[in-house]
Amino acid sequence: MVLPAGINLTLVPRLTSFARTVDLRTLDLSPTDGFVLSRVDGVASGEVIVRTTGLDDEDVRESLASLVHHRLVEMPAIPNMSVRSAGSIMPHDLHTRTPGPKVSVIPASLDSSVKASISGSYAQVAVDRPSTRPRAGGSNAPPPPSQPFGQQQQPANPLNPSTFSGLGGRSPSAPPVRYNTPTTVAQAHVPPSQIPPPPRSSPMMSGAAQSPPSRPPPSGPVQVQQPGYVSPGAAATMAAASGSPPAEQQPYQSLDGIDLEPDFRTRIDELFSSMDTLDYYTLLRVDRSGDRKLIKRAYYELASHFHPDKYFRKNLGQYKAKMEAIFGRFTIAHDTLTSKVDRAEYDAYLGIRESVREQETRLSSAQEEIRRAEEEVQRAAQQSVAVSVNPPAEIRTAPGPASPNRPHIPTSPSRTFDAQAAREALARKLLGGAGAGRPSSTGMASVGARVSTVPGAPSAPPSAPGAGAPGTMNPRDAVDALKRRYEERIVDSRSAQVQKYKANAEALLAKGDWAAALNSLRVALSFDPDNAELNALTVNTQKQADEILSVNYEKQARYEEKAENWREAARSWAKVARARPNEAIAHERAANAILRSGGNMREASELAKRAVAIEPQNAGHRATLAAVYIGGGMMLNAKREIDAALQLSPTHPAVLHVARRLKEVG
Amino acid sequence: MERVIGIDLGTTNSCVAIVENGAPAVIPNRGGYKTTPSMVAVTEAGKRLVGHIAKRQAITNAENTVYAAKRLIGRKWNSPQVKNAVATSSYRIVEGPHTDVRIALRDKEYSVPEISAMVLQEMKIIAEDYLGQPVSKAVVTVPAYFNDNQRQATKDAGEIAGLDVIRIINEPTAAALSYGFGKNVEKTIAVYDFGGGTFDISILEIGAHGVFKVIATAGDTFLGGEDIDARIIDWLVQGFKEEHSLDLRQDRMALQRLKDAAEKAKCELSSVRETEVNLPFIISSGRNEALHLQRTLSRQTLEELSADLIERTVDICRQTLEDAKLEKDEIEEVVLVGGMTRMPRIQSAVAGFFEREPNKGVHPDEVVALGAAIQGAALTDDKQEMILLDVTPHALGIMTFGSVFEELIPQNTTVPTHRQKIFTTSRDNQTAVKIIVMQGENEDASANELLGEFILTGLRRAPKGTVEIEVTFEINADGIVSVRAKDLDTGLEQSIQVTASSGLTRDEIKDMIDASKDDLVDRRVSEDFEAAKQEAEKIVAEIERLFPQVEQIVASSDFGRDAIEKARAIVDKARAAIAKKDTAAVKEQLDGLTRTHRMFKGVVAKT
Repeated sequence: MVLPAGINLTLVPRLTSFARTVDLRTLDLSPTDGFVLSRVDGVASGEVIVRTTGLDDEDVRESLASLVHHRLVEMPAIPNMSVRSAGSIMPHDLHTRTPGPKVSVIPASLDSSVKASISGSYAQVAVDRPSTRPRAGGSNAPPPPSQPFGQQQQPANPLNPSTFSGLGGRSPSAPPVRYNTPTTVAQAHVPPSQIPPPPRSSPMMSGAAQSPPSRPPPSGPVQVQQPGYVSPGAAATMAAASGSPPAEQQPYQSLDGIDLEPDFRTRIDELFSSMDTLDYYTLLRVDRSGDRKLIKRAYYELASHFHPDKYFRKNLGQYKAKMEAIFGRFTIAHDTLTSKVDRAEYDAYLGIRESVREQETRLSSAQEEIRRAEEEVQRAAQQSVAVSVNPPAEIRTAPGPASPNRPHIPTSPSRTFDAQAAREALARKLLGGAGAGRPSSTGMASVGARVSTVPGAPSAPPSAPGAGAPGTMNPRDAVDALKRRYEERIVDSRSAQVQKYKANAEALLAKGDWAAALNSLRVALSFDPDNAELNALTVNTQKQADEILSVNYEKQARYEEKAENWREAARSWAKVARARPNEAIAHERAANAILRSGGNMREASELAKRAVAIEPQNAGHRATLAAVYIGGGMMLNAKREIDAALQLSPTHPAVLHVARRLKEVG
Repeated sequence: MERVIGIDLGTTNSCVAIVENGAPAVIPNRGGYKTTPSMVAVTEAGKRLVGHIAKRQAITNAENTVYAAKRLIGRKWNSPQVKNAVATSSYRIVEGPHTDVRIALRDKEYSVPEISAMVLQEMKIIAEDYLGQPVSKAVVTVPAYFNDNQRQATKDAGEIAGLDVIRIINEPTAAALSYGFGKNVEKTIAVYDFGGGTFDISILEIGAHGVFKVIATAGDTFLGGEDIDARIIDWLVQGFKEEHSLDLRQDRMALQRLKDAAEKAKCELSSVRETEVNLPFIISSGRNEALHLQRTLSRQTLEELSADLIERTVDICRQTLEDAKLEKDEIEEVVLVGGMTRMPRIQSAVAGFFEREPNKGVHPDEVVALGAAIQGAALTDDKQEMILLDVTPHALGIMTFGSVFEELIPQNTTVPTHRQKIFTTSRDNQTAVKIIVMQGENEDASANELLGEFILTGLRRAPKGTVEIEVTFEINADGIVSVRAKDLDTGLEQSIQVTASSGLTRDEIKDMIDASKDDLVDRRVSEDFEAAKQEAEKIVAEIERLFPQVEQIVASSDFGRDAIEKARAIVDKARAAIAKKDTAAVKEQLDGLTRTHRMFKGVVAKT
């Protein structure tokens, strides 16, 4: 019998093997004894049990004494150990848990085979101990066994269902069970594929060991294939290709302390300044037809270079914000293009944006085309002269002032070459410098008057009858004749152009290409401004083109509105409003977009007022106008509008919203 | 290069890991366990207990033992979660000076980050013991739905524990990193994380170039394995009551044993069909006669007890899939994380919902810490080719007039990101505007979480609505939110970095760090002792390894028996000296240990 006073609480009580085999219910124990027994695990000292049970020292002593008496627990005798205790569960053995043969909260009769398996696995673990790992302390201990997924742990104490074993080494009474080399155990859970080769055999490691820590420059096929992007890792890629690992590269040392290579900085700067204007496909460097997977790959590739984490806690200076902005842009592009719905909308938007741009360029190019057509007329007239009279070489060598009229010498088109023209040309040639004193402006005047001074019948012979020989011709008459001739040719050519452009326009109209047709008509009209038919056709086409363009503007505006790109939306809606001066909604939307984008409030109020003027009964328009007034600080006007709107529709959500805002603001 | 540890700071258990030689590995604690209970207690003597030891005395010292502090971290005193915890927790939760939450243990009040810091410090020490060098940097994981305040509070806890928390990442994300690490796959995966206290689901894409992109994430703060334990305890208590008309809940010793037994039975039922809950001498009857609790719990009963909890997780999965705009068949892998996913019923529920067998290739208790360690290595080690593209778990915006929440950055937006909007003045001649930064999904700003506020001054005197202010939100890769307000008129600018309020001021955190440093000094032993201890332990381990062999060899001879007894005594003495942290005594034993070791080696070598 052990007296309670004989129990030393600084010692660690251990379970006996008897405790593992006996049916506890046959013994005379109290619930407190049961509780204390459940805490005995070969690790916790009597003091720890006192602390963790919340019982008094005396209670624990008494219970332990009772348990010792029942041969369930033994207290170690220090310094003299009994041999028997060698077989008891040492703190160390706690790490040799193996799955028990029987799973129950209390294996009431744990047979000796378990005990055997415990010590057996202990031996095994000891044998399997990994070779020493170099470490500061130089200490090694057996690792705990691995506990694969799903495997249950067998606690050392069958009464203790918790999975607790080791107390902190810092606890004064806890035995120091420390494991410093559980590497192999931890790795036991790593699939073999994840275990890298030993460091010594890894070229990566040895490379790193030779050079100070440096970022191996990222590299990838995109950079190599697409010279448009300067890859920060291009050099590394090449180095890798030529057999030397990137890690052996000299680390980049910058003068300003920013840890980025110059090439990559250039790339960041370029992208940062251009990214807002690039469409998403160009930005991600993928084909318009590229599938989801391709887009994702491109994005991941770019992200792996541009995500600021790539340079975590490195000095990036101004480049950090730039990289974040670029990455953000990539993300928006990726998110849009990888969503079926968003991509379809974006594609449609891109299509519209491009066709609108094309049409706008084309319409703005009407003047250019007119100029081109006029040049064509002139060239045709000149050519016919050149062909009939002058070898090209002569024209080229002739001094300008000596033959001021030459560029304007009328000739018939080569197709309608006639003898008379040839004769006249000859006469002029013979006369030589006769026209030298004539001011050079003559020819210019004739050109300047080309539209108004339409000469009479083109067939009117310029020379006197019977004038067969060149010598008989009055030089002045000859010149006049030539001039008239030239003007005739111009007129011919012009009317041909009118016909040509009109026919062209009609063909384009039939195809539905309104913008191009309109351009053609404008050219035709420039040659024949008084042509009533042409005027009517042009006005009509203009209307059609405007309508089509405005439909596209509207689509564009709606997309921009949805993307909350209010500045763009304001511009697009304003265009719609211009094209449809009588459509209230276009004006209202334009005003709203300006308001939201923080644009010109005066413009917004004009548009909103127009919307209200067109549809005075629409409460929504009035609400927008009121909101614009609030934005412009015109509270009285806002109040007037919102009152009117409330009268029209007291439950309109937009009206109520603005009314509430007005109240808050005012 | 300094090592970065990964810490899974769990509701019930915590785990620490590190990447070594390119492979992530969990670091076991001194008891050899890979997880440590996230419990903290203060004893009557004022001693602080952390981990297993705190857990073991939890019920008997209930009012001074903190568990599941994670459920309180970063929350305001008046939040419903805190109200609920106040009503159900055994420890005292009181209001702090900034409507934050404090926990009263014995005669002192602790902030929640301080409590979590104690657990983090324990994890730090485990890692330091293992590495044999100081550790100061860590990646810590949090549940995906944690808001910025909760994240900041977790960061503060790290700081108090002497850790530079270089990044906070989401638990399911960490699990995905661990799952996808080193695998060259392009896949869309779902991570189903059912842990001790929380449930989380995330959908991610693993892409080429080591890129991990989070698509959507969601969870439930108050749904975990503990809830299932509670169901088992209810069932046991109820059964016992029917049999003996006694309420076991009235007896704290009985309750502690019930809790332990319930958790164990739950674990066992993952591998066997039924288990016996056997607690002899659980309580005394009125006639002072000891009663035993013995009941068989079948897997089927457990499944019935927990059916509705499991169904709730499936509902959240459904919602997240919708948020991600994905169909079930687009999920190419389902990864199970958290101890609860060992339960067969949960596995089949997940398989049933996703119509695919879940992947069980990762260790559910360790995978999150491993992922955190991987992220730590990826950030600091240039050799690691891995990039994590995380998302904002909640929307960010500002409060406008009438308490209307204006969202600038939506939920599940990939970071880093930035968005801007234009606002205007609301009063005539208003020369200053207040920008109130909030987080949440509610249109009513007051229902969202306040992150911070600042004032933009020097506005031009003008009628209301005429001065325009451009507000820009930016979240950088570190998850730090900056808000900038710019007067478009004058170009004047004002900005703040939103340091979410963990409920603590900087000064307070500083004081706590100082206080914790004192504590650290108190807790860490001298290096001299450490060295002696390590050496002694190394030799003890060697001797222990040889014991069975030596015993066998010399079993017959008397001399052998004597020697073995002597050896045992020396080992026990050494252990006692280590336990007492007596440096001199440990050193004294070293000689004897070395001799014994030499002798043992000789005996083994001879045969």
